[in-house]
Amino acid sequence: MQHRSLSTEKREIERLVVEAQKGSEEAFAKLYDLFVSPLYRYVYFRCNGADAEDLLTTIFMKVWMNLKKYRFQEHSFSAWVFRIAHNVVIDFYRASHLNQPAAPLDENHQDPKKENHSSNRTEQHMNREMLKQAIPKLKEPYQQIIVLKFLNEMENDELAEILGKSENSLRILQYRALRQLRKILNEMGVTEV
Amino acid sequence: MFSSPDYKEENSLAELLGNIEKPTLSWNRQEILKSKLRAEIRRHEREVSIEQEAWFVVLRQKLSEIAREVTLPFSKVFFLREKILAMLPSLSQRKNWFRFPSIFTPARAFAGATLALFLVFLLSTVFFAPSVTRASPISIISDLEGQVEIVRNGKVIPASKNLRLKPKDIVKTYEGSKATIHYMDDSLTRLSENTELRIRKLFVNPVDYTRTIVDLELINGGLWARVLSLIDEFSKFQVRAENTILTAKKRATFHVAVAAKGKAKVVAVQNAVDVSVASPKKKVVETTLLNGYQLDVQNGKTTVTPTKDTKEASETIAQNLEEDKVFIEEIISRDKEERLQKIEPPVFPKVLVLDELKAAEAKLVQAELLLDTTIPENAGKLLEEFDEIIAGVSQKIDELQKTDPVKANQLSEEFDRKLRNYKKQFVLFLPDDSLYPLKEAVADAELTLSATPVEVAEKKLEQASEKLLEAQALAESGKTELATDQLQIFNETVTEVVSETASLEASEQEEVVSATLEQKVDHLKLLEALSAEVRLELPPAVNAKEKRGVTLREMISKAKKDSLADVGEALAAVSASETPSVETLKKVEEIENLDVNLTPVVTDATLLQSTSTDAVTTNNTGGPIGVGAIREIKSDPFSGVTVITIEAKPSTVPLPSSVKPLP
Repeated sequence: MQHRSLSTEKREIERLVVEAQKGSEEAFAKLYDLFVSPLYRYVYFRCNGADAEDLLTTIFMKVWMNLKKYRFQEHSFSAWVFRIAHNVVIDFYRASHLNQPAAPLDENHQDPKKENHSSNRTEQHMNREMLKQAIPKLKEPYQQIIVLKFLNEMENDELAEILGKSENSLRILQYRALRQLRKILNEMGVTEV
Repeated sequence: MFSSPDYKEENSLAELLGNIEKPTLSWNRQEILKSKLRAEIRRHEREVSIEQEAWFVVLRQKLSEIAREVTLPFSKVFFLREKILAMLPSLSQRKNWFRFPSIFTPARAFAGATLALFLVFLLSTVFFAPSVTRASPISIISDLEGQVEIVRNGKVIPASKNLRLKPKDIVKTYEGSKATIHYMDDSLTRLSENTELRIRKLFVNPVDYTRTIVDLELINGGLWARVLSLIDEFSKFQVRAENTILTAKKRATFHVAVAAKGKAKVVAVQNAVDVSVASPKKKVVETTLLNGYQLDVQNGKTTVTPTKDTKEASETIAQNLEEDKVFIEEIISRDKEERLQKIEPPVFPKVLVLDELKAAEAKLVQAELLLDTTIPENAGKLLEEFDEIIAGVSQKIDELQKTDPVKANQLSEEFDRKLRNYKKQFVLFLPDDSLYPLKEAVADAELTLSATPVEVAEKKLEQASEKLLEAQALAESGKTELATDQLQIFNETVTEVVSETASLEASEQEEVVSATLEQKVDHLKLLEALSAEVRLELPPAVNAKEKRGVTLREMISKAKKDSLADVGEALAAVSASETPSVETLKKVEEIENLDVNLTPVVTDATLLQSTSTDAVTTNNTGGPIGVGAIREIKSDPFSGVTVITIEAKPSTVPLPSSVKPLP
């Protein structure tokens, strides 16, 4: 299910959340159906694919266990869910000794190795594997923006809630995230963008 | 009259302020600021204008296309859904007992982190011994009625529920009172009235809680003992009563009473109990008491007879068995609760081998939750994943063995400990239980992680013993068909071990034969216990071929026959290459001297012969063969054929009147 339709179904989600808060597993199952694909994309691009299902299980378990703490007045439900997903992903990396995400690049990063320069690399087509390698090289908030905004098509108001930014500054961040992603992809040999 | 205000002071202040030099930006600074602002505006405009740039459009489009590709297959979505929903009932929703208005506020996160750090510090300095992950199991008074006392260090303490018992304690019940003791190995005793029990020893291996020894001394009165889940040869549950020592291994149920000085009575209710009695002439009589029989000891003289089937005795047994059921349910439910705590493990990237162990454990627990759902086949997938992780770990340990054998051995031991813990928890599951696949998965994992062919053979033989215990439990509840299946698996496993021995190197062969012989004693006792169960529970079939019980009987006979054949074949394998070692011959002697008192009457000695090329054959077709005496091992130096002669041992103990000889 696309995330855009999620925002249009906020009332339905609210109803399901209220029922799930009362312990309805059926309502929770429907929430699962709504969120499983966007959450899967979120963890897929941010962690090793082999662990995506384990991470999804953990996210849904945490959502269920913390559901009674959720308040509609404070945040949208999807923002709350993705915040939990974010914490699970961060825990995933923290617990690792070796599998740390690649160090994010700063704005003016230049790859010191000549062989990594786009001019020295075979031309590559952008595909999901390339993207999966590129995203972890972004700064943390840029990773979130690319995955939530451009891959999951989340609305700006929800994204602003998750990142704790105003919608205006979010707009600028989006451009910067895209520009940095383009730069990384170019360095990986992707010239079509 | 009002006078006009005098603003002299204010005017001079204004003049003073007017003369003060105003802070102004220098022209240079103004220009720098202006250019910075211009750059920022241009940058902002450029960022906004990139929406029109081709690369921006292409990149967004590509991202959307890729997003559409990244979806979980429907089957996985469904499987995951089932898995998560199955877990929900076990996961309580947390209430807002610790209420922070929002999880996103940094101040709250900071406060939470500070509190967490403080708690970790507190716990780490005060409570935790770093290497201990779980409290060592303890023995307690789990239930009591009337006046019950504990004598500890000469002082009398009134007993209460959940009171921890220690070695050297004496538990006393009086007229009309009774007490139940739950031991750290999950065994249980129920003390009758006017009973005095000394706790001699309560041993738990500090690094492996599945290895235990309970040693008790019944001074007066009587007790019911239920030994539930000992899983290895090391662990034992022992009760001394007068000059008799009763030893239960793995699983057994028995009643023991001390009537007067030098007089004790033991009734075996389930499986078998090893008994050793010291006579006044200091001669030790050793035997194995099977279910359905009783042993009377008077001044060192022993008499074994079928259990006297009085109404009172039957009622006592029935009532105790009923109470045991409740106890067993409690144990199973406690273990399940413990496993479910692992349901929310922190998800680790599998960097360390021990992370893999955690991942494997999580799969096992998740599979457990799914086995009770409407779609248990999903559990199968998880158990396959569990197998895969274990296989990967085994490979890693093998590789590590070449570079860092100490570390490899530590890891191997850690895995082994974990698996033994699960083995103990799953030991009571039978093939018709929904959770039985977990038991099998752990058994397979044990084999996968075995480092040498000898270890594999030992594990397989242990697992074969377990099949016999399962067959016993199934036969008890009248599920003879399933019991027969387990016996069949037992036969196949032992035969497999023996046939695999031939392909091993000579030194390994000797070790496997040694292990086979060691387990053989256990196997033969268990087979006898099973025979006793079948004789007691199943009426003699009139139309033998049509009764399921007959199939079970035939299978027991076959298992006993094959069991002895295996001994012969295994010995033949060793004898073919070299003379059996002293140790091996001692074990042969042990089998030879094995006295299971209640072997069915076999009046004619039955001769079995084995050669190094053929399996042992017998002239007894279908009839029961008791424990045999190995009379001779002859090796023909010319033909290279080894002949082993085994003579079946006739029993001296009469069968119960209700029991008819087997067909």
